[in-house]
Amino acid sequence: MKYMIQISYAPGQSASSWNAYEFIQTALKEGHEVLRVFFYHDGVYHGVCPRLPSGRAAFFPDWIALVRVYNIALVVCTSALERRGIHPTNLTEGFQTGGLGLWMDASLKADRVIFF
Amino acid sequence: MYSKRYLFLFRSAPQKNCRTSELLDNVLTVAAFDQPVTVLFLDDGVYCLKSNSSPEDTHRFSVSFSSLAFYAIRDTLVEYESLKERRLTVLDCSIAATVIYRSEIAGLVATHDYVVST
Repeated sequence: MKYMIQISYAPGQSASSWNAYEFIQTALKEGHEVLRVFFYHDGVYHGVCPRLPSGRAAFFPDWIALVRVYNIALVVCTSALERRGIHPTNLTEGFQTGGLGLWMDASLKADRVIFF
Repeated sequence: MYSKRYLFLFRSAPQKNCRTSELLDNVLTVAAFDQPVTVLFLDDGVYCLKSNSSPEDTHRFSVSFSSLAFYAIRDTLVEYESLKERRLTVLDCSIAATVIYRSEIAGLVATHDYVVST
């Protein structure tokens, strides 16, 4: 089955991003496909999470690991970034910017769209 | 060409945050891709339709839903019980909307492929 995942809440704002992360890992291990992870609304803050000296913030899911291991596309909505005064150059490496057209494209191709 | 039916639920008051405005962006994007779109206002989302009768009614997160007509989104619905609970009527709505009863919403959801909510 093909999935598109939308993350709508900022890290620490809700546990839903962790639920999403675990869902994605499980789905991929079971042979499903995740077309895109789209960060919208306050979910865009996942793309600018600060790093602790250890190299990883404890309460942020390790999205970059998904890119590294599964080559998942992590797309942060450009307009949502602008609304929150975040410049795209501040995004963590591994995250891409994109518009709602990419959301649309993935939702048309996916069998399911899941909102976290 | 793929085609999916989208249902967008506006459940939050527009003054709360910018999610209402962003969901409207989502609605208009889907409509621009010529996909069937239904918009439903319920719970506090009915306040999105309340006409701004005075300058005090405007706020930083003001959202204009008049653009729905320009994108030919004809299925604009509002839940009767949500209006009644907030002492509003369909006459208070700034745009034309069809009233739907709470008992009908489950059936409405079942006819759509994706349901997106604030």
